Amino acid sequence: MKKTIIVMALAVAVLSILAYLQGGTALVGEGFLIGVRMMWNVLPMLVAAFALSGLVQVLVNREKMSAILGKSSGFKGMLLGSLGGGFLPGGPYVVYPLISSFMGTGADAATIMALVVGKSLLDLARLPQEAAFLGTKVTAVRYGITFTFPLLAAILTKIFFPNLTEELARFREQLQQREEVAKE
Amino acid sequence: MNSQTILLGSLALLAFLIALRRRDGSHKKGLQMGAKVFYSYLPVLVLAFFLAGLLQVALPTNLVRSWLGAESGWRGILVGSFAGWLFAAGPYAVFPIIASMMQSGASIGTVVALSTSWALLSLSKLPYELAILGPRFTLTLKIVTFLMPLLAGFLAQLFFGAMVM
Repeated sequence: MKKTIIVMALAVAVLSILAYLQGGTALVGEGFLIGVRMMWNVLPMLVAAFALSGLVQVLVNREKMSAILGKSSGFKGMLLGSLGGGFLPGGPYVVYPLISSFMGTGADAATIMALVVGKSLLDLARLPQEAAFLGTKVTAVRYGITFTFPLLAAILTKIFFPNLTEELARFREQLQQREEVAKE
Repeated sequence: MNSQTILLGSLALLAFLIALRRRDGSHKKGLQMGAKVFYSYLPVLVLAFFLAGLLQVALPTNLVRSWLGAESGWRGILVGSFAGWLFAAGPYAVFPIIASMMQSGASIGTVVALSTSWALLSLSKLPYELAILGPRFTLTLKIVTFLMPLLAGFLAQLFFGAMVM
């Protein structure tokens, strides 16, 4: 988070200089003013968006979802993964370990692919933020068009990378061994 | 108050009522979680809006239009499909930037290609993917999804090119 703030502050500084070189302090001021106006306009929407994403995260039962997804394979797994990925709440550092724990438990590589792509493209927790900045129309187009992509990714994995399931199980084993060594 | 705020507000209200019906304090917990995330992201959000505003004045509109606008034809979609990789930041930084590009005249195809390529291929997620999901899976993921932003942008432009954003 701190890193993000520093990087963004730097970007703001660089852009301020760029604006200054083009139109002096007036243009820099205009840039900041546009930012403030934008923020003021979307503030009510942002408040609603954050309330919604918090509530969704509490309402979705992670344990129950894990129990179902962890054992899914075949076409059913692909379908469940495609739809379920978007419901997994949290950032990559929360969701990836959860998905990684499905490797070698019965979920095949195509299911895991569907989950990862589903999480990336159809993340419900991110939907409000996307709608707030890009507008509901553009967001609806984006979600609508990419809705089938997780399933597509899963099918491509199944066809072109048939050995991935076993390789993932091996990776998982290595990871667990490393964790055990680290514990000792 | 615009229609989007009303829509999101109603959805939030619906989620709140569902949580309330559970009678286990879920409604409070959900709102608290939302508020906590909001506060922790507030500095980034403020910076993101300044960034969006400055981008609008510092980036020449003509340049954005000729590179990413509808007039740019499919070049905008192509650029968008791969530019998302370099947007190595979270949604709070990326969406304001895309929004300001939209206001400067980027086409729907470009915007969809850009947000799809960021969601799938952003370099900021790569370390997590490599460490937690493994190099083999990560490689497969990138191969399988490599052309998806291009496809999404193309479809968006084809079917919604005339839409008022």
